[in-house]
Amino acid sequence: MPRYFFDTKDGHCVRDPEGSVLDDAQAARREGLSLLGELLRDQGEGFWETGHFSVIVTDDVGVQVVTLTTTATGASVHEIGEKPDEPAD
Amino acid sequence: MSLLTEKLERRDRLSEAEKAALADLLEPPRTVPAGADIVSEHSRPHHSTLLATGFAGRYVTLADGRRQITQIGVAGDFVDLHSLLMKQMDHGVVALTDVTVANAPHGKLRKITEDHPHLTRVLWLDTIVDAAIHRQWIAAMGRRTGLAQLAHLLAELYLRLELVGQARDHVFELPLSQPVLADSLGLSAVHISRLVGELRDSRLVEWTHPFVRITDWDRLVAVAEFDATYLRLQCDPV
Repeated sequence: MPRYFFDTKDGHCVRDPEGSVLDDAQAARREGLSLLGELLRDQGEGFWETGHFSVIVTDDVGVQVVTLTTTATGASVHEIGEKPDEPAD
Repeated sequence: MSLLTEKLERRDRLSEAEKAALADLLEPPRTVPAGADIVSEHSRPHHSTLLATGFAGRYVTLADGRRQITQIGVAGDFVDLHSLLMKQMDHGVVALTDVTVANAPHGKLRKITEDHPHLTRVLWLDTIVDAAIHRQWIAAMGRRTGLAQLAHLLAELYLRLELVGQARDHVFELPLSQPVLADSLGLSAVHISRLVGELRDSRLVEWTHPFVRITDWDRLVAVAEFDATYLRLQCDPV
């Protein structure tokens, strides 16, 4: 069975060093969505430091399966999110 | 058998007559392979089952086939003492590893409640601690972060295994897969993998499957906001 990697990115990127063995890309997308929801819940107020959070799912040769992103929009975000975004990797 | 007596005696002293009644309670041990049900959902057992070795999972199945594990049973635990009074199981208990179990016929358990009121209270306390464990799991699943949840589970399992002499010096065997831990914490398996890495990186545990060494108990307990009161580990007459 193939191995998939689940990196995350808010201000900085957290690499998934080991990956997880899953049935197929559909299972990887499902796990990615669950992970996004669970990590957002864990972040709590920490989310507002950047106002966005992504889970990037890739397969074992580095091809992207899906990227799931949550972004805060609206005037209040600019008041809360003071830090400028770091350039993408 | 002796594991059960050992565990119960940590909470209150038992008389020789009570120990004899417990010794007479259990049928010869039998094995159940990993993945098989020890007690099935909706069954009507005529005996309660004591886990002698291995790990068991109390679980509820969802319509789409997923499951939530609501408690992990360890050696010395009755997995369904409550079936004596519940009659029909509202949940199942699965062997998470190969296990050894022993049946305690409901007729003999009922006789204990008639002949040994103090021992009955001690056994009642055991089911009360089961309920307390469920309360803590609900609070963890509903409100704690994934990291705190996993830390809480490790602290709980260590103390419960230590109680029956299955763990010491902050080291214990945890032969459970990440999908099983995911079903226990209500999280995705990918998240569990990430959390294990986090616990390792922050030097709270060394985790070389199946062995877990808690390298910094105080910090693990702080991360988990773990308070062992619910495990009722002290000897206090009932």
